Amino acid sequence: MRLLVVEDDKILAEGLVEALTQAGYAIDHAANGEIANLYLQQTAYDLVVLDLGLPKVDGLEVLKRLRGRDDHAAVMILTAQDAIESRVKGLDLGADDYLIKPINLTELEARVRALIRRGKMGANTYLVCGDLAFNAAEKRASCGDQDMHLSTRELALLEILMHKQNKVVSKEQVLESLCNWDDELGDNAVEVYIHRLRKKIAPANVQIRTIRGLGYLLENAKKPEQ
Amino acid sequence: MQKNLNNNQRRQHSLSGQLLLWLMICLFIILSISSIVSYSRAYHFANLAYDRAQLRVVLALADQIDVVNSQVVIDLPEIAKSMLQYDKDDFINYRISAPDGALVVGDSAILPPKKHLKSGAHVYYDDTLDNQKVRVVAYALPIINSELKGDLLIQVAETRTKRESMALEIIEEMLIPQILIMLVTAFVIFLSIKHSLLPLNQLRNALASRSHEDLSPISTENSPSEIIPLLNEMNGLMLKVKAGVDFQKAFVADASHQLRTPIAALQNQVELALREQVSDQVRHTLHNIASSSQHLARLVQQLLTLARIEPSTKSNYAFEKVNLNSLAHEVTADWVPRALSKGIDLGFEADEQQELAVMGNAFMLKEMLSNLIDNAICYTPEGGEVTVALSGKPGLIMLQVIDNGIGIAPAQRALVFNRFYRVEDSAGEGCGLGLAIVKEIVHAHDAVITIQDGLPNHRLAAEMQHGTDFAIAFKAYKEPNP
Repeated sequence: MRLLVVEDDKILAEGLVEALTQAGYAIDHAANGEIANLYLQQTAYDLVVLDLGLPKVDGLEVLKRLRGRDDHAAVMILTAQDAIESRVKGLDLGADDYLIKPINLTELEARVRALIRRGKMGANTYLVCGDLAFNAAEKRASCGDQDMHLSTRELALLEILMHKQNKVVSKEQVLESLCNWDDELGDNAVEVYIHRLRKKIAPANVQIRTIRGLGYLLENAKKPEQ
Repeated sequence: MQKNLNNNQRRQHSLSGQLLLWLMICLFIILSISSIVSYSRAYHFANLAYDRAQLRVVLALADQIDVVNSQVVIDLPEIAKSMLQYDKDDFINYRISAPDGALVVGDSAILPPKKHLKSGAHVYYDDTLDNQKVRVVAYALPIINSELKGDLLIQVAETRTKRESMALEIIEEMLIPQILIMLVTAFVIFLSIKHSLLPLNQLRNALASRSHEDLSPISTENSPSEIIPLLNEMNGLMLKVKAGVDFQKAFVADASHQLRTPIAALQNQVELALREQVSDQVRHTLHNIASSSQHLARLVQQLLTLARIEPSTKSNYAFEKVNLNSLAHEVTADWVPRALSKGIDLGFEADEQQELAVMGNAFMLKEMLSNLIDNAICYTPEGGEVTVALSGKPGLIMLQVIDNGIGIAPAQRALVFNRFYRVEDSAGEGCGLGLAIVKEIVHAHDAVITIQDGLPNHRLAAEMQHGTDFAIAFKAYKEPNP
């Protein structure tokens, strides 16, 4: 995996390069838009972390030229510009992600992973939470090496929770995932399925929290040590 | 401050008072001059009438005079004499002098006229007699058929009571309508001044009802032409102030942007350092740097948000119909991970039967609710509870963020919306500008925010304490009339 970090702030660039190198990627660094353009013309990168306010050539211009060359490298904009218009412009020009500084390195790494995965497989098909792994393509859940025995509906429920892990999934979203379009399920049914799934996945060190008035949230039960 | 202002106002001239005062002074002067002139005219006509009567007395007196053997003989019956000396109002004196000026009969104190009278002529003049003002008629009666040559001088002096009272009567008749006219004029002037100054009052009200951030030009429509130059100057000043304020806000926004990159660098460096094997002491220090830089990042974000929403006199952000149910649901859900990481039970309660919509800007409302939830999580200890509640009453929508945290003492409740205010002895990093942002957004939406006691906090067993309940009352969205 070859990544290009385009960032004019020396220390920030150093930090990004260091973190992504630690994560096992090969990193090049360009300190301005002109150099970035040059590098991008010469090398096929898998992903570009792109600042917008760059000396010489603006980040958006770099992106425009990149897409103009029909280069499909994943582009992650990392900028101080948080105005909606700027965000829309960046995404319209073909950026795959738009992050606002400052960003947590762990989150940056996760997003880089996600973008690279998407580039490879088209979609997030292999999801992990705690000891629980979910293969969306094969609709299979496993804990360690062991497959878990879940019903179709439980799998559908687990899939949506895994996709949005650490985020709230509303009851409506849960209902949608459970219904096979034709049959109706009540609120109680949601609770029943959640209850069953909760018990089955508990050994995998994940838990489903009920969030008052909002829905459910899947999280790793093993808290990372702080 | 308020008192000072009032004092100032009192010391300043009221425009209407000044106008009225000057007009009344002018009217008074005109009235006085007119009274003096009228009096003299009235006195003139009164004189004219009475002078004739007096002349008749003189002529009657002349009829009674005869010259016999160079002696002047006057045949006056007693009754005529008494009539001659006194009538209803005035004392009358007379004097008849011989051609050589010697007194023949009458009051010697009456002096002859200053000018010599031709034979047969008469003259009226004012004089004084015994310190009283008198009117005198003098008549030169020629002597006929006698060796005594020359004229007899007959003078009748009458005090002026009748004349003066008649003049006064005339002037009274004239003055009363004049005074009435003056009063009516004053009243009409007063009304017209009030009426003409009405635009000034309207202008004052329009200015008074302005928010301190509204620097839009004052409309000169319907303003009297006299104050339009003043308004133009004021509008010019407003533009200058606005330019200054805009510049400052742009500066804050720019500065906040510029600060983001070094903060990002700082945070990332600390994160990298924390991944290394270091001593506990260094690790502790690095953690402190990390949390400080996070605090810094949030403050910068808040500064930027505040700079953005402040000039929002509804023009910067479009206002439209916003469904609060889904907005509050979404924002609260976004905060769940942060709440869970602090072991706080964050929940949402809403009346789902009703669609609760307001006229507003979704970005600002999200920012507002985010700051309130952030604040609640910040000041609620681990294991606490935070609830976002949405309810509707006819015409009103209540959005509440209720916690069972450390609470805010009633005395401090008005202060927490001030920028950089911190609840005393508060643990944690403080939320800086969060509530100031909330206040601005609440104001921009014509809503009202109040702080009440939240849920009871049982942590301190000795006395029951309450957390905080921020309640915002919005006006419910009304479909515009077609």
